[in-house]
Parts: sequence; C-alpha cells; structure tokens
Amino acid sequence: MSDERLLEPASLGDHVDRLYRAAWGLCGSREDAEDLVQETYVKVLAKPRFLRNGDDLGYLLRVLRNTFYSSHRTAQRRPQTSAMPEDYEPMDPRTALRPEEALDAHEVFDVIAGLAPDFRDALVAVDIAGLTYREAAKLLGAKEATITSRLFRARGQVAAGMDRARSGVLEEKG
Amino acid sequence: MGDHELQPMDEGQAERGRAMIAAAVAQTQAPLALRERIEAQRHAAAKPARRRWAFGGSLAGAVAAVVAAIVVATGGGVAQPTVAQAAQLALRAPTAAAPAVNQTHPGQLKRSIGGVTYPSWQDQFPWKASGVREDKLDGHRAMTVFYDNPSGTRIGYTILAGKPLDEPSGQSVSHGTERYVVLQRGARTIVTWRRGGRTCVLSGPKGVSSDRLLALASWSGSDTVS
Repeated sequence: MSDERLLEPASLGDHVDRLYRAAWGLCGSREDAEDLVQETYVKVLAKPRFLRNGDDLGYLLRVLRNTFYSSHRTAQRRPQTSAMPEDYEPMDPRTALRPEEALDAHEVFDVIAGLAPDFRDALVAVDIAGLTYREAAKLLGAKEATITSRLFRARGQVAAGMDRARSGVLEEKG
Repeated sequence: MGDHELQPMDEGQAERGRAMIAAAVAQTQAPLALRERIEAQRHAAAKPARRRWAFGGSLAGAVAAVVAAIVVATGGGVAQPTVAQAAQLALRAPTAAAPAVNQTHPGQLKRSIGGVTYPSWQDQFPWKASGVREDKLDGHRAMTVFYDNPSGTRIGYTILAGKPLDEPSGQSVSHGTERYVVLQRGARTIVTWRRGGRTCVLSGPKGVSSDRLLALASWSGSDTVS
C-alpha cells in the first residue's frame, strides 16, 4: 500500500538508548544488553526494511524482542563460559560519577529481568521503551486492558523486589 | 498466573515501582562504545549499496577492480589511506589512558606525532582528553586522541605521520593560514586540515556540529605550538 515506507537507517541511531534500556530489562545484564542491541541492528541493517506505519521504535523493539527470545534463550542453555575482557569497559563514566544511583539502576533492571515474561514484556514496552499502551498491546499481541493490568502488577512486583533486595543488603551489612 | 483485577490497596506499591523504574531509566544511557559500534555498522551497511549502485553489479565491480589494479601496477600511484579511513579510527576504543596536560603549556597535551602536538581544550571548551590509541593505516603511523564532553559524547583527533594525504573534496573554510575541509560520512562529521605538513582529522558523531569541530580544530591557545 502507499502507506509503506522505507525504514531510514540514518534515524536508527536515535533509538539506541531506549533499545539498550529495553534490552537490559530483558536480559538483566549490561553486557548481554549491549550484545542484544548490536545483534538487533545487524539484523535490521542487513537489508532494506519497509514499514507500514511511522512506528520505527515499535519495529525495532519487535526485532529486539524476537532476537532475545530466539537467540539469547538458546545461548543460555549452552554451557556458560567467562567472556574475555578484550572490550571490557570498567564503568559508564556517566554513572560512575554517582555510584549509589548506578547501583540502584542495576538492581532495578535485575528485578525487572526476573519478572514473569508477560509482566516483564509489558513493563519493558511501556515504562522502559516508552511505547503507548496501544503500541505495546500491538507489539505483544494483547488487549490494552491486559497491558494495563500486567503493567500495574509488574510495577508492584518491582517495588517489592527492590524492597527485598535492599533488606537483603541491610541484613548482610548488619 | 493470570491477569488480575487492579487492587486499590496495591496502588501505592505500584506507584513506588513506577517511580523506581523511571529513575533507573533516567540515569541509564547506552554506552558510548555501543553507539559507536552501531554507527560503524550503519556506515558499513551503507557502503555495499553505494558500490552496487555505482558499478551496476558485481561484474562491473570486478572490471573496475582490475582496472584499478592495472593503474596501481603501472605506476598510477601508491595506495594511500583516505581521510575518511583515518576518521574511522576515532570509532575504535582507546588503548591507553589520556595523555597528561603539559603544565608548562596548558593548551597542550604531552603527546605529539610527526612534530604536531595535541591540544588540551579543557580550559577553553568542555572537551577533556579521555584516551589515546595508535594504529598503522596503509603504512602511515596514526595516533588518535579521544576527547569527551560532560554528557559523554566523544570526538577523535587523528594525526597521521609521514606524507600528508590527498585533500578530499568538500566544503572548505580558511582560518588564518590553514584551510579546513568539512565532510559528512554517514552520521559522522569530519574536519580535516594540514598542520606542520601532517594530515589532521577531527571527527565526531551527529550531535557535534561542524562549527564546533571547526572551532576546536582552529583553536590556537596562546600556549599552543603548531
């Protein structure tokens, strides 16, 4: 149809932050999130992509999510090995300036990654990637009301998970 | 477990969770190295398409390659790197810590190549040296010093030792006795010029304007010796 348009590679760089956060929420690891985002871009850039609407981010998020479920889960079943520190980055300098906040962000993403997939996916789509409820519903193949419900519960579980994580830290310190 | 009706008593907890997530999102950005790898991928992905378009297919491409080989073999010139290739070095990671500022001449770093010293901009501009790497580019020794601004944006300043590279075509700007050429390659903006008989290349991502790069490239602090 005439609504179809080519995904413009020049604009893809605008979504790296959101995709990285979404990937971290899915994987629970910064290193895996970097790999996942890079893999997503490799796939998208491999050939021209035509979209039927203006939702670049929704499309990228769909590829990211599919890539996560297809390849990263398979990889997790393989024996785990230690990565060589060839491209090791000690810490993002922006968060290195605020270690307490960096710790919190890490904990929050850990808790999100540990949620049940339905809840986690809704939360990643709306609260992390910034999709509307309607866009998230389309991405996840669910009704908007279902997304609302999952999101509500997922947020509550994140708060509870953070409370548990913090009390665990306090107990260790105590 | 299935989806549940919203429970009024959970609203406070859900709101706390939402705020925690919002805070984590606000303080999390993709690492610079990841951005640069993606920029490089985008750039690389664009190249084959242009080549196919230019040559009209693999056969024509092969013919062009043979012709190019004959030109080189018959004295058409020794292959030398291009400014765009030199600018690609700035997409790689630093391999050593930032050079120190020269305390005697605060407008300079304690690092030079081919007699050209790298500047220290940090007293004048919000760009601070963050690392350095050395490479060989078609036989040319190349050194790149990386500079970061407070928001984490990184630019790279590459100087090639030896004979200067051919000047690329692009928008040119004169400042004093130096002539600067501005190029756009993918999402990277590149400024190149010659100083002390060497090719200098300053490049940055989309968010860094060519005016900003030109201001940095042409800066000659009172302590800077070119």
